[in-house]
Amino acid sequence: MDARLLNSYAGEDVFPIPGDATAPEMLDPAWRDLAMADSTTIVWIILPVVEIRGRRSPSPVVATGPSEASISPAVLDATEDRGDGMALLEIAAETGDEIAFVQAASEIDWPRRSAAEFARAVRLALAAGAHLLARTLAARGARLYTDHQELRKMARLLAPPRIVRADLPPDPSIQANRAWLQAHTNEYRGQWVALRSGQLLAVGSTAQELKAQLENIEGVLLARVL
Amino acid sequence: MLMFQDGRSFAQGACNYLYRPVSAGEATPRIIIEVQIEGVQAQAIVDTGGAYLVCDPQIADLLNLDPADALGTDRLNIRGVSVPGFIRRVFLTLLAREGQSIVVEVTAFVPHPEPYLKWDLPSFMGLTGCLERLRFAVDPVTDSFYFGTLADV
Repeated sequence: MDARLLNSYAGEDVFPIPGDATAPEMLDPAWRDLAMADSTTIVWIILPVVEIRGRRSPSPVVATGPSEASISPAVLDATEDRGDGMALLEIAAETGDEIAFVQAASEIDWPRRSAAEFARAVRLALAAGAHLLARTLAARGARLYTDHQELRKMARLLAPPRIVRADLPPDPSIQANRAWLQAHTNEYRGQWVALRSGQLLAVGSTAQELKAQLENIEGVLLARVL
Repeated sequence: MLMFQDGRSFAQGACNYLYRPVSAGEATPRIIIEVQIEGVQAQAIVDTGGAYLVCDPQIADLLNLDPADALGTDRLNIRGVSVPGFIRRVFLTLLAREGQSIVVEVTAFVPHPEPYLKWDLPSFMGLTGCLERLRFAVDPVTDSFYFGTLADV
């Protein structure tokens, strides 16, 4: 599986820069031995938005685009995987590849994983955009490690939504607010407005500014005019 | 209100929505309704392709949310962009112009946008973790958004 998943990454256009001064062998001499020892070793240079704690290269790299010029690359190496699949999860999370993340997670022997690994995997799943898997892992981890506070918290926070009340009366004033917003878009676009039953109460550049102008915001719509 | 053929109700509440783009940089209109987030009345976008209630940071600032109740400094992949923030549960009220308003406890993500990432979007109601346990329907003729619980399932 690993080779298949790794090859799927290798096939992606994730900024391999042959001969680049930021090539991994320039960053980590140990990489050369590993690469020579294992011909299937694949190294990626990834320019993620996400931060990799403690894995940043010391200097900026060649830019692949104007917006990326100041982002240092993370160098992820499949040889860092200790055989437990966690490194693959990290790679998929770093690249925001939900499909690869789910695939990698499906091949991990979860009952053998520690509580900390469950918690780490939940955070990685969130970073990868695998939200349902994050919920599943949190719930499973919390069942396996009932005393683990973080997993219990994760399971609670990521649980499916719960209907609390379905018997509250309607609020006809929302119609008047909508009508006001429709009628005054051009005048107030981009500004924050406070409305109650279609009456303008305050205008500001932030929601906090509105709050400062009002005695009470209960029943008051605070909206940026779109 | 909307009913199934056998007389069961599909939706308990309905409201009208605004239908327009939510930022200067986009042309695609969004369905925008009025909601309450932890009691604060605000606008939110129906975003069935998203996850969680992504709470406008300016609204979140007004809620006095206790960080101790949150899963801190997680990064969430929002439409391909990784954004730091925290996850917690909040009460979201779908306000009805007719019928009944509904209160749902949902998973919310409150972004802490980085300086280079200006956040000028309203809150987003995604499917996973937010709308997934509700029925909802849209009538584009009247710009109506219908919503209901799954209580009779």
